[in-house]
Amino acid sequence: MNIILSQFIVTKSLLFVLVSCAIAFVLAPFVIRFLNRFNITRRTEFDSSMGIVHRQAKAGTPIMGGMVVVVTVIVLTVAFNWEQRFTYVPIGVLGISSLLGGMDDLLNLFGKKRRIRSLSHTLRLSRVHRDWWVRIFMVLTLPWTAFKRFFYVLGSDPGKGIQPHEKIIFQFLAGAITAWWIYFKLGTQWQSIWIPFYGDVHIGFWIIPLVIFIVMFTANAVNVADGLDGLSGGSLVIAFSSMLLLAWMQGNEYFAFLNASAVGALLAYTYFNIKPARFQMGDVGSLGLGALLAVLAIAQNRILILPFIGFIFFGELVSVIAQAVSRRVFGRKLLKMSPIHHHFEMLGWSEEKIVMRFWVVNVIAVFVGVWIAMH
Amino acid sequence: MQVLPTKTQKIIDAYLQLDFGDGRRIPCPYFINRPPRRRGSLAVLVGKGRPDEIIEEVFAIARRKRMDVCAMDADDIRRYMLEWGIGIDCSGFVSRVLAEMVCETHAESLFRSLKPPSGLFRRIAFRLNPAKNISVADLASDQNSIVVANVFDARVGDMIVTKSGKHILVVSRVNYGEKGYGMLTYVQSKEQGYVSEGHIILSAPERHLADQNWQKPEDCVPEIEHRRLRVLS
Repeated sequence: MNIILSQFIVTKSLLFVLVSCAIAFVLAPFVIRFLNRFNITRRTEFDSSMGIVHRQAKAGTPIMGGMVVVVTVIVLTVAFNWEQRFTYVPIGVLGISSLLGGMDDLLNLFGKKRRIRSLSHTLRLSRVHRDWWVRIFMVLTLPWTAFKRFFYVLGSDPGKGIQPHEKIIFQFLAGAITAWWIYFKLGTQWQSIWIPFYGDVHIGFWIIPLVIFIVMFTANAVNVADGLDGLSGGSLVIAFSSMLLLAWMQGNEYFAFLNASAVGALLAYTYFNIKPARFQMGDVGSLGLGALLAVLAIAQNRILILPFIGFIFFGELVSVIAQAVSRRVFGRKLLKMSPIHHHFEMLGWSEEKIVMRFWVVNVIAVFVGVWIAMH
Repeated sequence: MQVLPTKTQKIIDAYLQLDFGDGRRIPCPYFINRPPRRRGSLAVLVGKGRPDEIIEEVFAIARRKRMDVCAMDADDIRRYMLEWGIGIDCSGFVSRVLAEMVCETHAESLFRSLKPPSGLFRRIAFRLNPAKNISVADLASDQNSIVVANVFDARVGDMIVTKSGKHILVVSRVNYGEKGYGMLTYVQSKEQGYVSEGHIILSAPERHLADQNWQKPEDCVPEIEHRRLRVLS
């Protein structure tokens, strides 16, 4: 990698960090007041982790605090860093994913509980329902019911929010937009992925499914990691800072400024999110920022560095998958509770200890990742 | 007198008195799930869990239901365990005990030494998750165990299969006295009940196990078979 360190980009990026941080700091108290006023707060009945005794103190904490970061990043980028080729789509994906997360947060609080009909029930109805039209409808929509049921089984707690199958569709959409942008709009040089110690490898059309997968995976990974005060905020600061460093080294000012905006806003967010949290990120922030992190890693052609940069997020999601697989296939739990941060809580670690150790691990992984990225 | 190896006996003791702390000890209740719930469940939720898994799951379910196990007395815990379907079935209990015994005495895995049932899917399920998919039929099959003809050949770890192969007990102590007398102690997870011990007084060497003197006559149901795992024979 040819390192291009421009003083202009570095200086202006630092300015973006400071301005973004200042805006988020000003915005945060208003958002907290707004969330409290409309009772957009964490409730015990919708959260299985609230069964852990010391977590019950989190009831009543405003959620959707991630709005502060999302709004700050979007406003700053649109106002000072709007370039069709580089920042258009990342902001679009951030917006779509945040919208999805926001809807999920609100429906979890104010929506009605929905039930997914089982396949056997649907098949029975298609045979015995007295109305012929309903029977035909049941048969025609059977694949859709099967799709819904599949993700219902995979999902942990469908509850009242957006159902897992709906989430998957929205996230697929966000991934597809990114893939479309990469494949059709950015030119053929973007259809290759960088392999450490080797260089770029042209993969052509295969970039599309890869991008969709990465966006969906990373968004969900950040979402899963958003379970302890300061964990996702601090880890995202580390992740976006390393992406900022890579953007500096690549000499891409647009990505550098976008990363810098995210870092600044996240610093302010984390200030308010440190235990005891004044607000929590919610899906609005975690899904949006997760998708943004993935899009930037793809756009900066460092997909394979993402597992290092987002080490904590990926580790958390892998722990959830491993727990589900172990449970279903081997009939036993790997962890006392998934994601893995709850496992450590159950082992008696304090929240602060888990969060800080996870930060340290993430920083170490980032150093490894940046070193690999330079080769 | 023959007794079970130390760790195996500890497993039985743990089932006989599940320890929820603060002196709250209860015998593990019987639970067998209905077939549709088997898929995708933890072994402990289908009546096949280890004692520590059972205790942990009680705490986990209580946590989900916002209940405090520490504030419950032993009767409450037993009631909630029945309500939540946490317990152990007869084959689950016997297989956990014998698995520990085989591990302790032969340093191998019972589940690996057993021949899986026929049928591709059952075979795969058994290999992936033997503790959850084991049944009385698997333990009592001719592939995996042999018939013990004489009651005075009984050893600890022998299985007593009753109800035409629908229920199973395990021999935990054998005590031979003089002049052809003896006593077997067995442990079982009894349907509609809990893990409990019983005794059989051996008084007629030439007669079948069913014709001996059972301390709890209700346990002596027709079609009794006395078997021993091949790996232990």
